[in-house]
Amino acid sequence: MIELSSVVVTLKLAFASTLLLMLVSTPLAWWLATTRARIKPLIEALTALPLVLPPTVLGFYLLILFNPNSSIGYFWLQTTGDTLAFSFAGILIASTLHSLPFVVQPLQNSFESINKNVLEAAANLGSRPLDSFLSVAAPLSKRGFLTAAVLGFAHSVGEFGVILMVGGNIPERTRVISIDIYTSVETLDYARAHFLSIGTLAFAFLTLLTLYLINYSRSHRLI
Amino acid sequence: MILKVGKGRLIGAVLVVFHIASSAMADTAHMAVAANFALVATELKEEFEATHDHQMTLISGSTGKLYAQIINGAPFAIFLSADQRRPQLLVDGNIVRSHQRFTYAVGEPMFCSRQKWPANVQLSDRLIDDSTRHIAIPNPEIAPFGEAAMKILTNLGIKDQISDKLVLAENVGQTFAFVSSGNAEMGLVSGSFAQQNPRLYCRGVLATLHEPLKQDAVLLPAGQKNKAALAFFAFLQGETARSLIANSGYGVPTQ
Repeated sequence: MIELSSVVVTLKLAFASTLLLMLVSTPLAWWLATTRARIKPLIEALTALPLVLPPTVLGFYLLILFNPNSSIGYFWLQTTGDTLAFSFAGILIASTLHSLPFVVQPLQNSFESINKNVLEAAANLGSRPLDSFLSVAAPLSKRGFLTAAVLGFAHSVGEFGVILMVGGNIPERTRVISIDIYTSVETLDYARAHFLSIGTLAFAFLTLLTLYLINYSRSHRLI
Repeated sequence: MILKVGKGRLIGAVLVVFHIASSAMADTAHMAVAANFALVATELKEEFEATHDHQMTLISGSTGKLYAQIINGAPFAIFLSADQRRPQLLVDGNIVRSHQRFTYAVGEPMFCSRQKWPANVQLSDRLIDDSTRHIAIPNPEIAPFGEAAMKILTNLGIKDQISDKLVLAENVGQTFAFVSSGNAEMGLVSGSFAQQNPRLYCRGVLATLHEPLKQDAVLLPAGQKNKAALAFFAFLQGETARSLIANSGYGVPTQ
């Protein structure tokens, strides 16, 4: 029987990251889509950074931030009793930061494509901003939410470099599938590497296929 | 945009590129180095290049990873392993000739920490103490220093007690990064790394706790006709290299 703890850790990480990403990204994307503030480009650029930065840059700085002698690492250790590096919480933060643009951008696009008149009409009818977001904008952005969640989930499953740098390859805690594959290749356990790789490949393909199928059927229904 | 370059200059540039390429082919060799020895290898490379008309490029990683790359055709001319097992496998697989293999260093594992370490505190007490939350070691499956670490922990009789604290690094270099950044309170590195950070408190391990970490070098097929590789392989067995290795936290076998 093949040992599957890395699959469990990966799924746990992907679900938790997706949840965290949706919670953080929804207000951020909404703000980016509606604001006229001058710092918008700055925030957009910061959010998009993980798209272009090598994961090693993020991993290196996180390793420095996580250590118990830094203020963040110290605060975390005092409140939770565990360090950020080599812990599930640590790779969750790393993965969330790294996947942020994959969730923020589809949401922002989706919010921006909502007809401004609809929102103005809601406002004129006395709807408060939060109310018009929940009862007008959110239902109109269902597809944006779905795309964002699927991309966030899939990207978290594919996380590698950042976790390699801050995770410490601990079974049942921080050893995710991608690192398991990497170690299997290094130790010449190609059977295991194949097993995990084929599984991941099939998963990634099916996820994207489902996403595109949903988009395809919807766009055809509109015509 | 199209660059406007005069014909003469273009030909000149092409010639320069060819010159660099051809000299690189004649006098450069790639050397795969176990991460624990990477720092010393860099010093050896500098010494070698200062006294020879050849260039070496270093690729460092865990012994297991480098071995996997070699048997899959990586273009390395020399392999400085962290053990004797992989070089022996290369000899057994008829990839390396047995006389083109020798022990270049004997590794010395050291436990390091950023926190003070009073002389009266035993290694095993320090490791099982609650203040040591993480013990970083190189992954024992791919790095011989990690294998030695597991052996030491077993012989100290604390392996089961500290198994929850173990953090596996890719190699000795990453282990050092974990300890030196303060993320792991304790970690096992090679003597050469232990010398690197004056803020670290390091201590050697009794030789009786583990097998001697004999590290073998081999000349790979890509190095058989490479002048740089042949020269470096000879240089590595010479007195200059041996004394440099001995001064860098390694033992040197008697010839």
